[in-house]
Amino acid sequence: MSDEIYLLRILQTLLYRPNLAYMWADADLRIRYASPQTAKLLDVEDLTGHLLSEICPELVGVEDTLKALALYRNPPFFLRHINRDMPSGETRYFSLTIYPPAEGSPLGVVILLEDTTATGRLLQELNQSRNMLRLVQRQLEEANRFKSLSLAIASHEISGRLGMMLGYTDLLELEDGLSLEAHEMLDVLRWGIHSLTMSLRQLISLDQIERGQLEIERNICNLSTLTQQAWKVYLVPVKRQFILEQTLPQEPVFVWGDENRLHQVLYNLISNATKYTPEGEHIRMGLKKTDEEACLWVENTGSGITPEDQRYLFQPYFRTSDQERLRKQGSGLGLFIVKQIVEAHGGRVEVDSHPRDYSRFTIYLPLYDASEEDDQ
Amino acid sequence: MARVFQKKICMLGDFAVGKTSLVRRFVEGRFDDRYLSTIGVKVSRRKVFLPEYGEMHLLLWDLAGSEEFTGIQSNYLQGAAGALLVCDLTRRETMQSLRKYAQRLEAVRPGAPVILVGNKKDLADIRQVADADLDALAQELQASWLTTSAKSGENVEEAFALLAKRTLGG
Repeated sequence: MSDEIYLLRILQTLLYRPNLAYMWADADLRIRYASPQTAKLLDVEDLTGHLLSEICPELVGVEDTLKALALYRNPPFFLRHINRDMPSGETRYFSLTIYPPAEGSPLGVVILLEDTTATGRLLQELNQSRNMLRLVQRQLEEANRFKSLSLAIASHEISGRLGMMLGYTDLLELEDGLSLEAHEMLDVLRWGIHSLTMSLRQLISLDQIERGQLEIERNICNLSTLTQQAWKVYLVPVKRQFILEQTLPQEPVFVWGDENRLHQVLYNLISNATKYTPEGEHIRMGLKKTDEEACLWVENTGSGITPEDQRYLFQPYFRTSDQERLRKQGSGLGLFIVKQIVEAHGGRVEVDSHPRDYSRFTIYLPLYDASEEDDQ
Repeated sequence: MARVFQKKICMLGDFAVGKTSLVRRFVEGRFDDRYLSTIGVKVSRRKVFLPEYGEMHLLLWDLAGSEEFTGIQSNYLQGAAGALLVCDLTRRETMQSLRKYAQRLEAVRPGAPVILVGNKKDLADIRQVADADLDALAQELQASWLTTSAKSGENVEEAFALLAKRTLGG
């Protein structure tokens, strides 16, 4: 067989595909030839003699570009994903490419029409899904913004009133002649107000963490005083339930931190300890200073935490197998918030626990350094 | 014999602002609540009669609103006599995008008239774009503006008619 025959076979294979059609239009863009497949694809009869733009309205307005192309003056022109509603009601997609004539050929253009319905439909579905996702994402972002705003307004209102209640509690405690029982009741009241304040602060913190905007306002912070305050507010009211032990250094320990946030850390650690310590068992709290760090711990005896659970303890919404088994209430957010706050202070939090024995949470914070204050 | 004008009008704007719905309302007089994203381009036709000018054939180019297709939009924009720049009144960011579409059109068809259209006027409860915002942007782009509802049909005829007139220098 001669090369020409092979070439012809190749051309036949390439050209006679059911999704391809060809037309030839003269320099005035009037169709002079259309392959049999063209009428089928476009569902139009008698193509020859018509202007190209009559058959393909997508080419209205670009006639000058195409005429220049017919005179070899332009590169090929293309339109992708032309949508056509067919008489059957279905939408088909086409790609249209218009080529200048081959060197030495009569002036005119070659029009290649390709039915791309299969890929077009896939692309449309993909595009549709992506756009729907974007719309949903936008709605979620708006809902989130609204939630943050509502939370900020509500917390402002509530914390103002809680502050007032705490003030009156302190004033009452100064009254002469209060019985021991009344003092204890005021302690419980103060504990309740502080716990509510902390719960509110937890919500705000979580919202800020979620937005990547946890606010930390640093000052010189006396950790010894803070530890004693937390002891008084959260542990003294439960002194009859547990055996409490406190270890404090002689000298005060200072860190460069946010007093409210660190108070929140202590609240979370103590509230976990009181929740998981069986009555009559130990809760120990302590503070010490090393060369570079302040080291603060809260420890409780009891069921402890399994090594498997320890791996996930600081992840949001994590609940230990014991919590599930004992149906203890909790959001699984306390330790997550602790970790975020401590790390925002340049510190770290560690857990040491032996199942059926004890759990000890230790936070390490960089000590206050006067030069650090200058850098802030 | 009266002269019949034929003009190519492009619909430009972000995805899901209602470009296809506006064309469907204008051409077929109906509205469909389902969102079906457009890829590529769909050309529709409608005749309009303008008292001062006579009959006019509009070829409406409904273009995909997703950025994936904007890179090759210059071919789609060739020969456009004007464009409706459509934003969704309930999504403020879709109005900010209109500058980008105006610039693209200007690059391919300098001086082609545009009309700003704030669509989904019927969703007044969740509207995020004020008339004043549209007015300010329209002034910046030296364009006219309208708020429409493809759902109720409010101002849809007016928007296309206004652009048709502008393409004739009106």
